[in-house]
Amino acid sequence: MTESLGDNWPGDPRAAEAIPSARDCYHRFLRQGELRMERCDSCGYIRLPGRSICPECLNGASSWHLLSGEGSVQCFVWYMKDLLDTRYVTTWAYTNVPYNVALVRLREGPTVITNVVDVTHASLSYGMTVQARFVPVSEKYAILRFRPDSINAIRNESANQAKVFTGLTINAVTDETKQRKNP
Amino acid sequence: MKQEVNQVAIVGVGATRPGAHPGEAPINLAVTAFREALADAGIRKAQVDAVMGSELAGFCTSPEEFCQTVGLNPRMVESLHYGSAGIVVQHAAMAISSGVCDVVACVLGRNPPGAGEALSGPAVYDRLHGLVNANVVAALGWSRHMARYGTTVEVLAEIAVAARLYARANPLAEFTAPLSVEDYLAEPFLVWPFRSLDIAKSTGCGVCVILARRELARDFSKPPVYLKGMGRRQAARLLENEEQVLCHGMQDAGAQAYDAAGLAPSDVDVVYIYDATTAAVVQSLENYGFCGLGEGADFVADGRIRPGGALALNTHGGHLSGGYAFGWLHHVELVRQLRGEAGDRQIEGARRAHFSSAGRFREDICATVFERE
Repeated sequence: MTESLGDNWPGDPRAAEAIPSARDCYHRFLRQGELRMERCDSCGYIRLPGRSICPECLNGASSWHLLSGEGSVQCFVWYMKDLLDTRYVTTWAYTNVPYNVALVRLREGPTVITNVVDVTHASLSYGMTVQARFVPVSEKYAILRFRPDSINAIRNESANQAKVFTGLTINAVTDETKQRKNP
Repeated sequence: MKQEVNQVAIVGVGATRPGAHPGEAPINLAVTAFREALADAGIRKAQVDAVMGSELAGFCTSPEEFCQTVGLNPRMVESLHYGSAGIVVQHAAMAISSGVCDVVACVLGRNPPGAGEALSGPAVYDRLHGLVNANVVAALGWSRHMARYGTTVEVLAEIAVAARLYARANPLAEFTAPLSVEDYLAEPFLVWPFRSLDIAKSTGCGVCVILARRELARDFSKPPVYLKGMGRRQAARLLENEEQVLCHGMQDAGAQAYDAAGLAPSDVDVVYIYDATTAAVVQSLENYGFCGLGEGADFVADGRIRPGGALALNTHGGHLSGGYAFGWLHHVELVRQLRGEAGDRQIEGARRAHFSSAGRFREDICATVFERE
């Protein structure tokens, strides 16, 4: 349990293929280093990505609200062993254990499923303050992870992130017809 | 609010052994259970006028295939998409109490690959972040419980051991090797905070539960087990539900079921909890009010839920050791307990039972109170 889950951890190399078109904009913003979610123009509720209307007031009009990227760790699990038994399950699986999956509550309210990087099993803790980390998975998309806030100065790291991306084998998503709009 | 379901009873049950059934078609498991349930109820096939089942996680016979095989043209055939036992039984009770049908056979016939050894719940929740296996959502829930209440990982040992002790008294149970707290703690973590022993394994099984309206039920051979109240909550908004991972929706379902029954959790004699994981047991005991929120760890200590303890819980070994039949074997067992047919593990004078489940990724919450009048 001493391994650190760092930037070099690639996650699922086919992650970009799994992004549904309804979440296209969200992941494009992440690729640009911005955490934005749709904020209802009518009632102000910030909804999780991929929903076409406000689940509170049913209004359709919304704006891409820039979030702080700050959050706190609500809970987490550590995969110690690959759980998908390939004898019975014919789907992709993570094999880079150990890794964590965490619920992080954003300062602005929403709770997201994510991973916390740059932590060990011993150092990841409940209530830990974390900061958004944008991990590119294709030319178009990044995914949202977090790292402890103490390792700050993470904004505008596009050069470093590009280096991480170059190290991965990823099929670029070429189906432009799935784009809803280009952020 | 009073519910008309108290005019409905379970009148017959049948089940195959849970476990590995190499090469057996799911329909054959369902038919075996159906024959046994008909005999148990003392009725003829032609009296069944509705058949209900569900697709669950695949590898199931469909109610349509079942009807073709057993030669039935019932009034109703319904397959619920992800209806675990509690939800299908409630659905059957709704159909009977509405007057549309009189006798409903709820059937399960399932034989997944890896039965008897593979982890249950091999679903993908969040592919981008590697949240795989439905039971890991429960692991997240237990992590949240530890964060909120200061509970520990070790508490779960008691749940696994109690289930195993009951399974050892159940001739039909799937996992019966001796298991101590020390054995549990010696097992390495699979997905922290869970060990493999915290997660139910896939199983092959056939089960049939037959329900009938009160006027018919009292003419059948065995004492009817009446539904007294049903509660539901569908936490479909998942993470947008405050404290979804702590299963607080159970509080709504429990209040509805017990209010309809005019009873309280302290009135039931036997408790059946859908234990896809050990953590589900503790969180259910708390949310349904058998103990206070955050008090589950102390509540289960000192053998309270072991055989002979103060609270009779999952007396067949539950999913964890009895066999993971999506709550169906829980229903078979509660009926046998309330009839006094449970043999060595019979709870003396058992008359009322609690069943509850949180299926799928724990958003399908359902609770039912049963009574032998």
